[in-house]
Amino acid sequence: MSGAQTDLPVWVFDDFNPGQPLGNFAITLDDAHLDNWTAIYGDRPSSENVPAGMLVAAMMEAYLNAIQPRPPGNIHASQKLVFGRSAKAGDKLEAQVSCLSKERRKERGWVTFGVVLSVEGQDVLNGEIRTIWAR
Amino acid sequence: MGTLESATLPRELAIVEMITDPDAVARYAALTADFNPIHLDPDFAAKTSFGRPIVHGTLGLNLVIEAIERTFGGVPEKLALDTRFVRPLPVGSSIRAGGVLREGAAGTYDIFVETMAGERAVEGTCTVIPAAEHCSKGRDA
Repeated sequence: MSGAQTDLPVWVFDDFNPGQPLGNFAITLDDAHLDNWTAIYGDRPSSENVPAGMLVAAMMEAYLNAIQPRPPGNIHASQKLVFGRSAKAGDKLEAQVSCLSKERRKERGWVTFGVVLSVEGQDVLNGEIRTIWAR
Repeated sequence: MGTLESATLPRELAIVEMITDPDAVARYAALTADFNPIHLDPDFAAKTSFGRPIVHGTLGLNLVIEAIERTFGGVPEKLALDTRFVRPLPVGSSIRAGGVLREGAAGTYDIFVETMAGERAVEGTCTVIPAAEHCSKGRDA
């Protein structure tokens, strides 16, 4: 994945350190999020809880916000998810993004990022994004 | 989120299908703020090794989560997924997602996202019942 055009230097493999915080973000599950979700995945039975996949989308939004700009050619290789309590429409998610680990294997740089989403201090999603970093 | 018992688990997850048309991909770009041209710009994508725009990986992954929610009527408590993105999906692909309960592994499903031709794009597992050692730590551990 490549990031938006900015004047900031591109994040490279050597910039990451395990345990490094990469930013905190607030994401509100507002009507725009819900409308986009419904346009993609369709209507669903009425529920006070948002679809759990919306939390995955929010996790990606937080991750992409945290690391800008990215070099072209990154690969999202694998993904771990652990869900906690439910979230509701209008909830404000607090997202914490960090670098969990990195290693070089077969001349490729592997970086794993953690994203924890919570509402009012309770975890709703804990995600591990494992990437092959292009530079 | 409800609790489940192994004996009551269905053998298969509900199959959920969708078409990853350009509008859906553009909507997912807006949803995640991921406007990478590899997903959205045919001219850009034509110059890459993919040759054409590809679908965001988690757009497909979320279809599995939809299958889980439809099967269980919501997200089971402490639902955990461990997945790999094994093949990029060209934008416009018709895909389906589902899963099969793994023999001998209580509460674990082998899950997938694939094209209608059976080409896997996402593979992995989901666990709808935490392992005993996790349960023993208690809900707030």
